[in-house]
Amino acid sequence: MKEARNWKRLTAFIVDVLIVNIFIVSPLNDSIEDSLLDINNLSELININVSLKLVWISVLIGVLTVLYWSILEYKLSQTIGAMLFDIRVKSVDNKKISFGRIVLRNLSKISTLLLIVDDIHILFSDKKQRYLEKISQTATMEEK
Amino acid sequence: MSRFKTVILTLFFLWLIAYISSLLIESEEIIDEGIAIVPIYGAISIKDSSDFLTGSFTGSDTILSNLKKANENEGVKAIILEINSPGGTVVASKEIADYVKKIDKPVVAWIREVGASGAYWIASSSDVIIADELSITGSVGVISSYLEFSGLLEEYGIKYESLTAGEYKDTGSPFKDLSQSERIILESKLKKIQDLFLNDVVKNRKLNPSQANEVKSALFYLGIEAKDLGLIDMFGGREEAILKAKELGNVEDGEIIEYKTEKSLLDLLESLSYKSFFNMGKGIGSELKQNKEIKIMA
Repeated sequence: MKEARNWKRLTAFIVDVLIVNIFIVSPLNDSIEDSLLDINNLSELININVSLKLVWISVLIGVLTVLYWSILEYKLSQTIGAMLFDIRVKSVDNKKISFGRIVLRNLSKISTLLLIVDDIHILFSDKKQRYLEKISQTATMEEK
Repeated sequence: MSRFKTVILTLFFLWLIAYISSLLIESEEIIDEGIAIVPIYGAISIKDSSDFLTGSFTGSDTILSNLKKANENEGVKAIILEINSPGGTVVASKEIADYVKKIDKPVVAWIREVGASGAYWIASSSDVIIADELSITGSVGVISSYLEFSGLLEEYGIKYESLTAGEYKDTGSPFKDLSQSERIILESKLKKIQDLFLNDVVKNRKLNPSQANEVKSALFYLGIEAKDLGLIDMFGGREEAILKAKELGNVEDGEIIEYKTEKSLLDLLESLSYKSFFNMGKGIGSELKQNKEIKIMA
């Protein structure tokens, strides 16, 4: 096994995002649209009532997204996207990866901004690890 | 468990949570039996808008959306229009008035501080109008006005050049004097709009010719005067409006749902300032326009 190449990780991620959109975001689409309808101008973006509903939906989507990655990686060591590109999660310390560690490595997926910050670490990491991968002692590998 | 089964079960589990959550988010309006209150606050326009020059407008889109939700909600047996508006643009007011007539549930209009001009048009489309003795209502007229800058431009040596195809293309431009023929044309348009407005109000309220003639002056009336003129049905406030709506909707007890138009922090700050009397004048007044577009207000 070797560290998964970036293009594979990125393409697998895009596939997973599409799946998350279909199964998690789509059912909540009407609620998101309703909330956005309440925002007619810039001033309403700071409306507490409108924002709360949007924040609640965003957090829910974020949590379910983290769960998608976490459940599949815990059970199968790979998500659907990762299966297509033959990449999987491995423990760096050779111990069995607990569900807590899996959740930790995926926490940044709750927000795009966090994910970008987390991903920047790959550029400076010898093992091509995201920051949360390093913290959780995990890495994304592919078959040689 | 096979990999395939794990994937399917995981996706189904996550989809189910998302689906149930979406139902829970929407279910706040589900009731067995009750009354809906739909507020119509502030000057009415097509879209919600707010800026320092023209003030804030409540969009007919928002009000219609709330009315549709209330009408389609099977638990809602009657609707109260909580009106505190000096009126607004003609089409926006008419759109709401037309929709109110189509509602198959009893509609009670409750006029608070002011329900004049376009807002009264909407109220007149309801089944019953309740207002305070001191509420301001009526003003069944139309106004169009704009600031004309031609004198100012002349003083500063600025000349307005307009290239148009069509004699009246720049009618209403703030940079030139209104000609006599243009004035006649604009006034005739306003007359047509007022006739339509007045006829609708007369029909909605079943006013007799003498009442109609009085209302035609576009004067605004206090609640006490409006009752004598047949413009409102009874005096009262929220309690009376709810009781009337319950009576018309055959609701014994039941919940009250308020389809509130959310107010932003800026709106709240703005409402601390100049609002009430300025708006009263605005509904029957004008708004500052910087281009040739003329907004016609009812």
